[in-house]
Amino acid sequence: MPKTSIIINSQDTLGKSTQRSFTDVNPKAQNSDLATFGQRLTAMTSNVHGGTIRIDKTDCDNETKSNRTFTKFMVTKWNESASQVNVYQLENNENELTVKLATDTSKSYSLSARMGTTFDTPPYITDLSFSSADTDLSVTASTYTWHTAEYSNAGLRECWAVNLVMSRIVPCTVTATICFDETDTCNAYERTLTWTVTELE
Amino acid sequence: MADVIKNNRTLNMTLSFEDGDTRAISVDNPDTSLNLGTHVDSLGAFCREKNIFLGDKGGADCTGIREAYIKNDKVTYLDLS
Repeated sequence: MPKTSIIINSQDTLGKSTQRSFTDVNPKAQNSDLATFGQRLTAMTSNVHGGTIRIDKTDCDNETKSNRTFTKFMVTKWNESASQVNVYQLENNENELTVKLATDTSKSYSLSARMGTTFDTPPYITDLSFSSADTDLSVTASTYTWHTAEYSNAGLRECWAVNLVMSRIVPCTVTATICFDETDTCNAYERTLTWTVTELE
Repeated sequence: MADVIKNNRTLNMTLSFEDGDTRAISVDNPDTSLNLGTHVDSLGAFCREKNIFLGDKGGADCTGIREAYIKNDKVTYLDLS
């Protein structure tokens, strides 16, 4: 199962820095509660609190799913019309590592003449590759899923989700090629996956 | 040079989990005004209510801090000159 640890930093009265680490922290614990725990633990000592760091990690050799956080991913062009700019929000599902690219079908794109309707044939992925400075890394794309969701404030959104299995947790760049049957166009998108280390305070 | 005496104080606590598992945690330099009964109990309640820790055998919930004691090691470095 995904594992979370925290490291609590403090300084003693002589100015010496110490670190206290705790493993098997609840991955679902609120960051603010973890920060409070760090503060309260240090408050029980004569040390000065330095901060709490949260680290999420996973055992990739045995786990096919992990818990990650991605920042917003900007793609400036995804079809032949240079004026089409889409913001792709990468989402973090609790038990699933997914990379989602959202399409806003309420806009007019050159790849489809439809307005506000779904695609007859969802875009599909032809190629998923990765590159990393770590030569031991292997990445297997396991499943592609096409999702359709109706958002109250953003209309109909469709996206595909790719489940990635990584053998090691090292930064790597994943490139996916998405093809659209309607226009017979393919575009490549890149995403760099990295660890998430969250400083709680 | 006279003898040097150093006090190493450590607060040792035992977390307890619903599956009966326990885990030892500790912090150095516990405050001298610490009241084990209230401060440690309060921290244990926080851990339980906010689900801070999980048991490492099966992810069991933490039920609190079962026991706590302060170890005070007084180390004397003898001057043998």
